Amino acid sequence: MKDILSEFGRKLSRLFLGRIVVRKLANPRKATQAAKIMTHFHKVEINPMRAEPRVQAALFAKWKGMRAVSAGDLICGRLAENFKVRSINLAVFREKSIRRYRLNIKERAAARRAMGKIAKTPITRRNRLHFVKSLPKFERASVLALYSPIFQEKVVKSALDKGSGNLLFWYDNDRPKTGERHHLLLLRVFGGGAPLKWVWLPVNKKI
Amino acid sequence: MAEKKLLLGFLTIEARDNFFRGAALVTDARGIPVDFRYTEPVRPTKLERILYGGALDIYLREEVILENLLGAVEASPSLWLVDSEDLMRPVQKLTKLQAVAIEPTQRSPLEASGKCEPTSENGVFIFQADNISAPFRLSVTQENASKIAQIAESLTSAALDMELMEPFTRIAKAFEAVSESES
Repeated sequence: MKDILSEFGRKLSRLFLGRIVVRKLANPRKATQAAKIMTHFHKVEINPMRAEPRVQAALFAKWKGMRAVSAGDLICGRLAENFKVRSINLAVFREKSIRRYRLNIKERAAARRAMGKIAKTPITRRNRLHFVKSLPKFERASVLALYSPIFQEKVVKSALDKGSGNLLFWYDNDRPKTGERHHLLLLRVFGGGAPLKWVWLPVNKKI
Repeated sequence: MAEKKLLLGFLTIEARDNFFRGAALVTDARGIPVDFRYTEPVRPTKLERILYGGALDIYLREEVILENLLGAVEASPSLWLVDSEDLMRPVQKLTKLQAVAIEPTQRSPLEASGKCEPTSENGVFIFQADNISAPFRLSVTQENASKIAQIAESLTSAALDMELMEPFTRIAKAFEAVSESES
C-alpha cells in the first residue's frame, strides 16, 4: 500500500511539478549483464566491401570497364558478390617478344644446271661487213652482210633477224666433225631470179 | 700427251629493279657450251635491304651469286671472261684462275689481230682479237698485268673460231627463256 501511495505521489509530482526521481543502480552485476545483452543484440560489425582505391589513374595503362574513382556509389548499390575480379590482358606485352628473322638469301640463289636451255639458244653473229677491208668480187651481185666465223658442217638451223641484221644459228653439239671455219655472205643479186643469195667462203681464203 | 683444250668461262650478273641473278657459261674455243649454270633470281626484301644497307649489292654479287655459281660449275676454264670490272677480282679469288673484264669499244681496229696496247688506266688494255671487228677493252688485275700477252694469245686463238663476246648475248637469251618457262 505504501509503495502504491509512494508511486502515486511520484507520478503526480512529475506531472504537476516536473520532478523525476534519480536513483542509483541498486545491483551493479545485474546492470553489467544487461549491458552485455544489449551489446549482443546491437553489435555492429564493419566489413569493408572494397579495397581502398589507391591508384586513380596511370599513364601507362587504361583500366578498361572500370572507372578509377572512389567506389562509394558502387558499394551502396551492389552486394559484395556482384563485384567480379577482372584481369588485364597482357597479350600486348607478349606480342613484343623477340622474333628471329631468317636471312636465307644464299639459299634463294641456288645454282641450276641448264645445258638443255643453252643448247636451244641460238648463237648470234653480227654483220661484220664494215670491218672487211677487201671483198671478193661477185658477178651481178653485191655483198650485203658477212657473218663469221661459222663452222658450216655443224650448223643445223639458221635464221636472219631482219630487225637487227644478226644471223642466228644452232650448232649440232653432238656432231663430232667440226670442219673448216667459214664466212657466210649474204648477196643481193641483180637481174632475174632470187634477189638474195647465201654464199659460204672458207676463212682461209683471203678476203 | 694430249694438248689441253682451251675452255673459256663467261660470267655475268644481272642486277636491275631490285632483282639479281647470275649465270656462268663455259664453252670450248668454238663457243660450244660445255657447262651452263644460272642462279634463281634473288629479290631482297625490304627488311633485307634495310639490314644490309649499302653492303647488299656487294654481298649479293660476291657472296651469294658468285659463290653459288662458281661452286656449281664443274668445268674448269682456262680463263674467265666477265662483263664488269667489279666481278674480276672476286671471280679470281674464288676460282684461283685468271679473270678478265671484256667490253666492246667503238674504236677503229688496230693494225693486226692479237695486238694489245696499254692505256693510261692501270691494268686496262685495248686488244684487237681478229681482223674483222672493233677492238675490245680488256681489264686485268694488277697481278695479271704482266700476263697480258699470254691472255691476249689465248683470246686471239679463241677469236678465230668464235665471236668473243657472243656468249654473253646467249646468256641473256637463256635468261629470257628461263624466265618465260618459269612464268
